[in-house]
Amino acid sequence: MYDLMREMDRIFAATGRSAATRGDRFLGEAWPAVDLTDEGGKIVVRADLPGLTEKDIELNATQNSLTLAGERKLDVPEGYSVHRQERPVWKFSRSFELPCRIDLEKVAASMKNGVLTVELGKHAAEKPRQITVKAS
Amino acid sequence: MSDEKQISKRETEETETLDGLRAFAPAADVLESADDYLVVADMPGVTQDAVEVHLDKNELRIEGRREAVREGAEPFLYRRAFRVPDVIEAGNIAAKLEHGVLTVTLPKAGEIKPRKIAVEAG
Repeated sequence: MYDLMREMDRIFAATGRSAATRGDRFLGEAWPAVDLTDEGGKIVVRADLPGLTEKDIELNATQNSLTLAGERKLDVPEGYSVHRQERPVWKFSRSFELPCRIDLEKVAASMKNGVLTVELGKHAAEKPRQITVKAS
Repeated sequence: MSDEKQISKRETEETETLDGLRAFAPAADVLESADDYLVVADMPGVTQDAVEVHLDKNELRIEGRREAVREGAEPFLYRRAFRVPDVIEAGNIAAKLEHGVLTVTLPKAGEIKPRKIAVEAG
């Protein structure tokens, strides 16, 4: 049995935090913050990608991995000088090993308010099944 | 305070709110042109109706509430305040939220805009 919690810990340790707790202590990151959660019948990956639209993102999935690539350019508009620049420029490609096999026919991604959500339906053989305990 | 010529950062330590929500300072850029200042802040996941921009005296305060990312997670605030120079036309501040990025435009009052002085041939 795959240890999902350990896998998530490993991913979070690598990013240093979860996407939901990003603050100014983490400025200048080269990677956007990503959460990966197991929600029963599906694996859900969420990434904070402020300023990006669906056109700026490339996603590739296999049965057991997801690759997320994108770029955020921050061009200074004409006539402006910069006093403070904390928002990071991104050019990234991250691959995640998924904690179980997924059904490639059941992958959906959406982008809303700068947050990417990717839902990866689990392969039928991986879905949790409830087992009824019979009285003997 | 009023002699400051540039938008400066105030204390941005993580603070707690009375309703128990945690608040984080979002990463922000500050730009200046001859006509205005721009304050640009990353607020992913915040919707239009959940963002507030206030200018009180010389303090610009931006705040965005981010709803729980998933079941079991807590909502939290992006919050930050900046001291702004006296020269801002408070009545004409504009703010827009686009793809999780808040941009506040603070126009400079007319009399302080740098003016190009034409040098006439003598």
